[in-house]
Order: sequence, then structure tokens, then C-alpha cells
Amino acid sequence: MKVVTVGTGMASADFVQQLRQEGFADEIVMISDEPYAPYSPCVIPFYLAGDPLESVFWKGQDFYQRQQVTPLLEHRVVEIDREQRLVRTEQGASESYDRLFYAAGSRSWCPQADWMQTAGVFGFKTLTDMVAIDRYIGQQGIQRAVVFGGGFIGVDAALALHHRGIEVTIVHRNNRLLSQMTDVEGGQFATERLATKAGLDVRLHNTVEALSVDAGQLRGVTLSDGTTLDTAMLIVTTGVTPNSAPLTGADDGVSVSSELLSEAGIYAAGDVALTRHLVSDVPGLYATYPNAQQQARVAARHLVHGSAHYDGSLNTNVLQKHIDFPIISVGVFEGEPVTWCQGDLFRRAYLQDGRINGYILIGDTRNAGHIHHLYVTREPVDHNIAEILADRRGVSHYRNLMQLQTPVTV
Amino acid sequence: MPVKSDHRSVDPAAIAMLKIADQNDIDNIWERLEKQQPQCGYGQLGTCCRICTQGPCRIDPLGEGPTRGVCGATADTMVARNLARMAAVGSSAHSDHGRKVALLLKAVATGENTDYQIVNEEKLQGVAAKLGISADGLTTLELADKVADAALDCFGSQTEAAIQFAAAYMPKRLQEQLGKAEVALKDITGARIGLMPRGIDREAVDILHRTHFGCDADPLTLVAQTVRCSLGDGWGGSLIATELQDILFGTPTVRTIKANLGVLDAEMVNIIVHGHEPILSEKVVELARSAKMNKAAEAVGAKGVNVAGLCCTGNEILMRQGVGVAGNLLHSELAIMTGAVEALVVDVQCIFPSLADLSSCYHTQFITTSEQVNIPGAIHMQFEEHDADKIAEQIVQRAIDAFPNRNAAKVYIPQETAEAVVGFSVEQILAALGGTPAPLVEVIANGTIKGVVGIVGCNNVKVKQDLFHQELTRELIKRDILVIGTGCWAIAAAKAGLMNLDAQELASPGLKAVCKSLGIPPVLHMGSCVDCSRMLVLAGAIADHLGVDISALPLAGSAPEWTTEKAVAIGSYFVGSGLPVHLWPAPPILGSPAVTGILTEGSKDLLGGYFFVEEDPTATAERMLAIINEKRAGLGI
Amino acid sequence: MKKIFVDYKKCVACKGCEIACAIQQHPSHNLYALVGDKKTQVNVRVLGVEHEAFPVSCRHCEPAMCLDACPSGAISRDPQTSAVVLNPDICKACAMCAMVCPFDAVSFKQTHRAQYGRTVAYKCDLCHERLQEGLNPACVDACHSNALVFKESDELSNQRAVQNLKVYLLGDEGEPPLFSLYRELRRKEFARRRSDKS
Ligand SMILES: Cc1cc2nc3c(=O)[nH]c(=O)nc-3n(C[C@H](O)[C@H](O)[C@H](O)COP(=O)(O)OP(=O)(O)OC[C@H]3O[C@@H](n4cnc5c(N)ncnc54)[C@H](O)[C@@H]3O)c2cc1C
Ligand code: SF4
Ligand code: SF4
Ligand code: SF4
Ligand code: SF4
Repeated sequence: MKVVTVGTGMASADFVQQLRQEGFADEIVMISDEPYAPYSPCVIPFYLAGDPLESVFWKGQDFYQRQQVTPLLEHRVVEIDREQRLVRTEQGASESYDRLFYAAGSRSWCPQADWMQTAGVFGFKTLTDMVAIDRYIGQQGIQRAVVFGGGFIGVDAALALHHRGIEVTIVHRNNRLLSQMTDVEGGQFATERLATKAGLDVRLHNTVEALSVDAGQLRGVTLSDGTTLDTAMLIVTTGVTPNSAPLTGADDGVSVSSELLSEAGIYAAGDVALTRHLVSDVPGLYATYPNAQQQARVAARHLVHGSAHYDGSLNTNVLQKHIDFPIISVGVFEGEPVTWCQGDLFRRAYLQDGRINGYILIGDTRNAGHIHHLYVTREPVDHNIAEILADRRGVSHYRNLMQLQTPVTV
Repeated sequence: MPVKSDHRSVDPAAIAMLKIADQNDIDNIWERLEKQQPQCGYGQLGTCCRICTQGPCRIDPLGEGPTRGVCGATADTMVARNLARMAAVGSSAHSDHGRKVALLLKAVATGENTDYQIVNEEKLQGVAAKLGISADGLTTLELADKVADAALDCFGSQTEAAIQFAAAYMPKRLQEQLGKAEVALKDITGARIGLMPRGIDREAVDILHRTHFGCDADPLTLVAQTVRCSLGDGWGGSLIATELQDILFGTPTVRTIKANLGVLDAEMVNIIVHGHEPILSEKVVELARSAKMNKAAEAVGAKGVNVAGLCCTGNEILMRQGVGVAGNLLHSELAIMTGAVEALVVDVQCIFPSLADLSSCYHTQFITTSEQVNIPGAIHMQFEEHDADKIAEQIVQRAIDAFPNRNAAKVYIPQETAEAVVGFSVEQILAALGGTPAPLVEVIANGTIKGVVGIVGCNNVKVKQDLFHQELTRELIKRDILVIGTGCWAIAAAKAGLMNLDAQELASPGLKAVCKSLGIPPVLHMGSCVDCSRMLVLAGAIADHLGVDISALPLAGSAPEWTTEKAVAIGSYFVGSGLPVHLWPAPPILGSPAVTGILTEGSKDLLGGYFFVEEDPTATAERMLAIINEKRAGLGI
Repeated sequence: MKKIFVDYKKCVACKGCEIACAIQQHPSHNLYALVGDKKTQVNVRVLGVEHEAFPVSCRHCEPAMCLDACPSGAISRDPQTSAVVLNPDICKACAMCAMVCPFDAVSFKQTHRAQYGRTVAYKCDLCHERLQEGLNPACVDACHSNALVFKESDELSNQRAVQNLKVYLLGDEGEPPLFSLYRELRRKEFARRRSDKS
């Protein structure tokens, strides 16, 4: 049985590794439009910030050899021929398969597609992007940059560039950065610290309206509030689009079953897959690594053993790269909020029926695992959540396990 | 919005200040205690030894690890050595205070020092008479010189005989009882073990020697020396401090004072004197009351100079000068947080090093004055007794100079204060009784009052501030027990209004009637922690009056909320003098079955006194009542 | 596989384990070199939980949530000892692991092992290098009162153990009466100190 993966990303790498661990010994081909060994997009910003390139290859640069995989690199898959069980690439190759693992991830979405043709404008998704940005910074001696889009990837990009010594302005439409993974207060709390502690120049309620371009080369940008900024580099992080068209004909994700099958013989996983949420059951694109990994493992087990079940995805996010105040966000922010805030710590949980619906933790990871556990296990917490949030030393979990009484204090 | 309760203190002023501390994230002792958790069990059990560099050695209390230190010391040896060292340090602190007073008396007697005078000639004559020094044909200064010499000799005496003060003040029966205990100890151990102190310094040095690497390993003899050294404090160093201070500054007389942070005055230059000795603070009070200094204060826009006390320095000057007391140990940081303290002037003992950093957040001048207390970040103004007036003036001036820097926005003085009737020296108590303990003995004998409990204590951040002090005191006076005491307990009782005449209403009918007829509160302030010697003297006077041992009397002692090594010495000399003594928190001895046994049981037979630990104030009061009833039964009353 | 079990009732809070771990992890392996060295890494933390003390370190879960969450490939299982080991050379301090570790066993700072002059995650590595030399974990050896015990853990309890600390707790054994008294007094002291009742 021959297995082909579309993509050599995180899902594909974990899938292949799991296949081999489960004893799958047949042929595997991995196809990617990029020239690299599997890398971790989560880590690639560090390459920009100065870490060596090797460190992005999270499963080792010799992954393909070790796992006895035939890589087909710099080939962009454009079509899946179900009749003939063939994968066709833009570069003219076609690869037959018995089972297909489709994990093409997503790509940067830009409000004006033509901007991306301008020298100095980059997406922030792939190692190819990072290598290009790195080369450009070196060649142009970039001192300042504008990041458009203040979501997770935008902030990650801004911090990486800032860490490299570049003056960064981050432009965001909303009233706070990280608006998708925070509520208003939590997001503003985080934004304030990103501005003051991390040193980002933050422009809220703003978008990049126009570029000033000179002979195909970016010179500056104009914001919706009329401000113009001189810059030769613009990173666009306004959103991502799943790369599902080659499989489904449209770039809106791939629906999968709880076996991760999109149809017989074809698995889909990772950022491209539409899965159900573990807690809320709502289907969506839950684009984080732990989901991709679990999905890949389930798919591999299903392929080898004929049975395996995916319980669902979580939307857990944490941003701590380059900063010393983690911003953790999980679940949905609906229900009754319970908040504890002191100095640089902000902790809020949303309760519904006495259970955690979602939470935001900013400043430290002290109780994060405990709260995560309470969230996933749906344990009723209405009686003690306030105390858990206020616990600075991380004793509440242990107090529970040691069956000690909660002290009566005011 | 006033907060009514707080797990850290029962004092409303403290609760108000803690709220400010919380709001402004001001570092404080409660925070630091939390940060220290968990605290090492070896230390709490007393089974960590750092005496030699082959260590440190620790004996695991569970018997899982090694049961002996590198040298072979057992848990019993380690605990006993550590305890003895605590007593040596505590006795030394008290006694060194006494030495300074004796040296000052000597300097005044010889005319070397003219900044101080003999204020109480009657007391001088009384002390001389007690010591058997004839005043015949001597001038006051000549007599003072002899008394000073006798006192100084107690420190450095090199003979085997008991020190003069102990021999003169200790009831004869107690001396005999200690003699019998010496014989008993010899029978048990074969060693010549003394209990009467030979020299105040010597007994402390004996402990330092005895606990040196490779000396005494027997918990029994180590505890015996602990008691001896402590008796040298109670019937020596502390007693000398009390008696000679009375000569130099006057014997306390009954007066009414105000207690708690509300004694600070928002419109005056506030100086807080903190620590233990009256030598400097008496002068600060004198200068602060002078017209010159008050003029200077007015010149900077203040209404005048206001002095308040903290801890035992506070006790010394409230007893003699009627100066208001701002609080006890755990108030020392809170006082600065009022933002209204121009100067915090300290001498020795119980000064948190944290006060330097805290003061630097305010305009407060944190002034150390003793060569024995140097704190980084503090201003040191070396105090010299022979130049006392000048230095005290400089200190007061420094406070006045700081007044214009006060930040009004930071000022908050909780207004809670209580009135307290204080000043109960033994002389005053006897005077109230008509010159003899007889009336007191009579009301005890007929059961109107069941007994007397003497309480001393610090604050201990591990115990909710003042809670134990207040509750135990309330519970005792409800049970026909007269409460006397000193130290930070006394300030706690004063702040709680328990030393007010109104507190008579809280007392049981019998006690209330006695207090009413004598015009005293049911809770008597006897002074600072060196003034625990006053309690010994009172107990001795009653025992002598009845012709019985102190250990037979319906008396008990307690050190709730205790913190310091001085308290170990006090507890030990109470026990050595035949008194049962309650402690909370537990002392660091539970790692040794032998030491625990000796202190809680063995000493009963040997000395009459013993320790017990109890964490609940009501249960403590009950236990004390039971002890008192047992003693009453023993006396057939 | 052998694991570190905790009998917290025997923990005396001496922090001997913390010091031993710091020495073990420090490049100098020397106590005196630790003093004032901010990069010192301590993988066990004696946590005061009311009157009790609990030595908190990684439980080397199977499966390990941290390992599954790490997007950098920095966390792996040592095949010989089953220890969950974090490679600081690869770690990006993204906190994905800490976000899900139920035992709060992952911390962050710039340790001596941090290569690129920035913060990394660090956690207990079960002293797997010592284990290979036939030694016990340093903290276990340092614990005189046997609050930390290194012993075989069966497959079944491994599975239950992932999020349930109780499996790592050893049962009560008789304790000397004075030690019981000490613990009881501490319990009372804390109860009183924390209590708002007066
Ligand atoms: C900057 C950044 C930071 C991130 N940080 C975190 C984080 O801290 N934590 C976290 O959990 N997640 C993070 N993520 C998200 C995480 O990287 C993804 O969830 C994860 O990589 C998904 O794996 P995947 O295999 O689905 O997609 P990817 O890893 O993106 O892999 C997709 C692969 O498909 C290839 N491909 C795409 N289209 C084609 C085509 N047509 N033909 C052939 N090959 C194709 C790509 O080249 C790539 O190799 C981050 C993402 C980015 C971009
Ligand atoms: S060494 Fe043992 S007793 Fe000491 S703190 Fe650590 S676990 Fe507790
Ligand atoms: S205890 Fe935490 S760090 Fe250790 S293996 Fe488990 S999840 Fe990972
Ligand atoms: S902090 Fe380090 S070890 Fe933890 S998940 Fe991130 S990269 Fe992995
Ligand atoms: S096993 Fe080793 S690394 Fe882990 S806590 Fe103990 S001493 Fe530290």
C-alpha cells in the first residue's frame, strides 16, 4: 500500500512518524511546494530573530531518510485525480496513491492580492517566507517595518522582528491586539504590555489603506487614519486561507469524519481540516499544532489498524515567544466572567453551568495546566474558581490532591 | 469602607493599615512570611546542627535517615544545645541592657556623667538595703556608686557563689529548692551541676563553651545550664535593669496613657522611639517636650513635637513618662506606613531590618543609635550617654527637619486608640494594697481571686496579631484570675482596652469587686520585658509573706505570640523559679523526646515549674485555672 | 520503569532536594558556585500547601501532555529511563507545554543550558544521566526523611497517573508521636493564622 502526503508540514510529519511507529513498512511519498525537510511554523519566527536555521527542523533534517520516505519537493499539488488515484503537481509530476493524507495547511490572506507582488511585502506563514524576509532585511538593511494584522501570527512576527533590532509598527483594525483570542479587557491588558514591556508601536482602529511603491519597490504605507509611515518592509498577517482547493475545489477547508477521512481513502488533517470542537462540538478550523498532531496520529492509526477515533479539537493558544508574559487563551468567552487581576497578572474564566467555558491567563503559567485540566474534564468549579484564579503560587491543584481544606480568609 | 476583619490581625488600626499595604503592594512582614513558606522542619524541630564545619547535620525526625550527626550528636543533644544557645542569647540581650544601666549609674555616681541624675533616692536606698549595703554616712552619689559596683560585680564575678542580686532578691525557699535540685542532678548524672547563677556573663559564656563542638552532649545537663543562665537573667541582668532604671528615671507610678497608632498626630512632628532601653528615649522625650524644640517645630509649620513609643522602649516611657504607645512589634512597619512619622529612632532589639527600605519610601528618618544595631539604609547617629542631651537634640532636630518633606497624600492615621491605666511597679501594687501583700493574699485565700497569671509576649507573625493576647487575657479575668504582665502583650492589652477601668466589667464578679475597691483594672501593666523581673519579685514577696515556695502559689506564666530568644530566657527563669509556663507557638524542641520530656515533665519534680504548649486561648485559660485550682488545693485554700 | 514517588507527610520542607538538584544541574556541580547565579536551574520546588510541604517536580507522565504539545520537538522520552526530557537547544519557550502540564512542572528562564541568550523552558529530567551511572536522582538521595522515594512503578498506575497525583503519593506509615504532634501543631497554627474567625 502506497501512502502519499500532500504537505510536509507538522501534520504530515507526525502522520508519517506515527505510521512507521505503528509498523507501516510500505512506500511513502511526501509532497511539498517548499524545498525543506519538515519544519515547525511555530518556530520559524526564531530564525528571523537569530536562532540557526537547523533548529526549525523539529524532527531533524534527515527526517525523510530516517523514515524512509521519498520526498517530492518544490512541487505544488494542483489536482487530486480520484478516478486514477493520482496526485498532480503544477510542475508536471503525478504520483499515484492508495491512501492520501491531505495536510496542505493554510496560506497568508492579503486584502489586496496585488500587494504581494510588491518587493518588500511579505506573508508570514512558511519557511520560504522567513528565508525571503531574512534575505531582504540583510540586503536592504531594514531598520523599520510595518506589520499589518495584530492577530497571533502578526504579534509573533512583530516580536521576532523587534527582537532582531528592527523598529516595528503593528497596525490592527480592532480595539486591541490578539482580538480573536481575547475578550476586550484581556486583550487591552495584553496590548498595553505588548506596547510597554515588549516595545511595540501599536496602532489600533487602523488598517493599511495604500502602499507607496516606487519601481515595484515598497517605500511606505498609508493608514486609514491618514498617517503615512516610511518603510521598505510590510508584513501582511491579516488572516489565513486554508489550502483546500486542490482537494475540494474551494479554499474553505476540508470537512472530515471522526476518523479524519474526507472521503474513502483520503485523510485530511491539520490547519486545512474542519473538525469538531472537543468541548463545544462546533465545527471549525482549529489551527494549532496539538490538534494537527492528534489528528495525524488518529489518521495513521486508522490507516494501519482500520479503527481510531478523534475526540475533537481544542482552541488553545499561548503566546510567549520573545516575551516574559505568556498570553494564554482557551475556549469561548461566553458565560459568567470571573476575574482576578493584580499587577502584571490577569486571569479570567468564563463559566457556564458552573463549568469553564473559556479562559484567559496573562502574565504567568502558574495554574495554567490545572485550569486546562478543569476545562477539559468539565469539572464544576463555581465554588472554587475565584480562589484558583487568585492563587499566585500554584498551590490549588496540590491542595486539591492532598485533600486539604481551603483556608477561610477574606 | 472599613474592613472589619483580617486574618493577620485583630487590631482595627492594623487592619486599616494592612488594607493600605495591600492596595499599594507595600512589602511587609506578613507577605514575607508567606514567601518563606514552607519553612524548614528541621529548624522548627530543632534538629539541625551547624555548630562545626563537619556539618550541617540534620536528624530526620522520622527515623528514616541518619540518627546521629557527623560527630555522633543525637537529636536530643542537638535540640538541647540549640535551646541552650537561644537562652544564652536571650539572657545576654536582657543582661547587656542591664549592664548599660549599671554603667550609667556608675558614671553618674562618679560625676563622670552629668546629663543624667539620681531621680529616685528612695529606690536607691531600698535597693541598697536589699543588697545589705549600709547607707550610713554616705552621700547619695556614694551610695549609688556602691550599688553600681554591686550590680557590675554580678556580671563579672568569678567566684562560685551566687551573684549578689540573686542572693538578695530570690526568696530563701527558692534558693533552697534550687540547692535540692542541684543535689538531685548530681545523683542522676554524677556531675556537679549548679543552678544558682555565679555570674551573669559567665553563665552565658558557660553555654557557649558547653555547646562548643565536642563538649556537653547530655540533654539534662544542657537544660540545667539553660535554666541557670536564664536565672542569671531574671534574678540578675533584667532585675538590675529594672531596679537601676527606677533609680535613674523613677519608679513607675499609676497613670493613664493612650495606645495605638492614633497617638500619632497629623499636625505634629511625630517621633517614634522603638527598641528596649529608656536611656536614650528618656532624653528624646525630655527634649521633645522642651520649649526650644517645640518652637523649632512650629517654625516648620508643625504644631509641636509628639513622641510615641513602640515595643519595650514604648513601655519604659509610658510607665514613667506617660507617653502614648503607637503599638507593639507587628505595628512597627504599619506605623511608618501612616506616612506621618518623621523619625523612627531605635536602640536595641526587635528592630526589623526591613524598616530601612520601608522608611525610604516615605520621608521617615530611620535612625539607629546603638553600636550594636547597624542597619544598612538607616541613618546612624551614635548615642553617647555622656553627651546625651546634645545627641537627643540632634535627633529631634532631624525629625523636625523632615517634617516639610511629609507627603500629605500618603498620610493616613487610623484613629482607633484606647486608654490604659498603667504603671504598676511592685511598689505601686503594694502601695495600692496598703503597703503589704496581705490584702492580696487574703482575697486569694478566700477565693475572691483564684490566682494570678503573668503574661509576657511578643507578637509573632505566625499568630494573628494580638488575638491570643486578648483572648487569653479576657478568658482569664472571666475566671477570677488577675492578669499581670509586660512587653508586647501589655501593649496588646492596652490597645484592646483591657487596661482601662471599664475592663472591670469584663471580669468575673469576685475579681471585679477587688479591682473596684482598689481602683485598678483587672489587667495590670508591669512594664517592659526586662520588667518581668518585677513579676518575679512580686511572686517572691507573696511566697515569703505566706512562707511557702513560689511553686506552691496559685500562679502561672504565659508567653503567647512569642518570637525571640529573650522569651526563651524568660520562660526558663519562670520555670526555674517554680512557675508553670504556657507557650504558643511551640518552641523548636519537638525533635528531641528527651528535651521535650525534661521541659514538660521532668522539671516539675526538679524545679516545680514546667512548660506546656497550647494553641487555643480558651483551652489555655482552662488549663491555667486547673493548675491554679490544683495549687490552691495544695495550699488547702 | 522507576519513578519518583512522594510521601509528602514525611516532607520536612528542608529544601535539601532543591539544593541537591541545583548542584546536579549546575555546570560547576558546586554549591558555592550557585550563590547569586541567576541562571541556576532548580527542577524541584518545595511548595507550601497550607501546613504541608510538597516537593513539586515533573511526574514524567505517560503519555505526557507536554511532550504532545511541544511544537518544536524539544521534549522527548528517554528510551532507557522513560524520563520526559526537554532539550533546551531546540526549545523556543513558547509555553505550549506549560499551558497543559497538570503539575505545573515546567518553568522558564535563561538557564546555563540556554544557547541563544534567551529564556527557555526547563523541568526535571529525572537525573537520567545519573540513572545511567546507576545512581538515584539527586533529590531522592538528598531527602533524609524518605519523602522522595525512587521505585518501580507498574504499568497500570502509569496510566492512571497522568493527571492523578495520588498515584505518586505513598501511603501513611506510622510516624513517631512527637512528629505527629509537630505536624498537628503546625496544622493548628496555620488554621488559626488563616482563619478569619476571632
Ligand atoms: C508564525 C506561526 C506561528 C505559529 N505558532 C504556533 C504556536 O505557537 N502554537 C501552535 O500550536 N501553533 C502555532 N502555529 C500554527 C501551526 O504551525 C499549525 O497549526 C501547524 O503547522 C499545522 O500543521 P499543518 O501540517 O496543517 O500545516 P503546516 O505545518 O503549515 O504545513 C503545510 C504544508 O503544506 C505545504 N503545502 C501547502 N500547499 C501545498 C500544495 N498545494 N502543494 C504541496 N504542498 C503544499 C506547505 O509547504 C507545508 O509544508 C503557528 C503558525 C505560524 C505560521
Ligand atoms: S529533601 Fe525531602 S524532606 Fe527535604 S524538602 Fe525535599 S522532599 Fe521535603
Ligand atoms: S508532569 Fe508535566 S512536564 Fe512532566 S511529563 Fe507530565 S506533563 Fe510533562
Ligand atoms: S516552551 Fe519549549 S519545550 Fe515547551 S512547548 Fe515550547 S518549545 Fe517545547
Ligand atoms: S530527579 Fe534530578 S532533575 Fe529531577 S528534581 Fe530530582 S534532582 Fe532535579
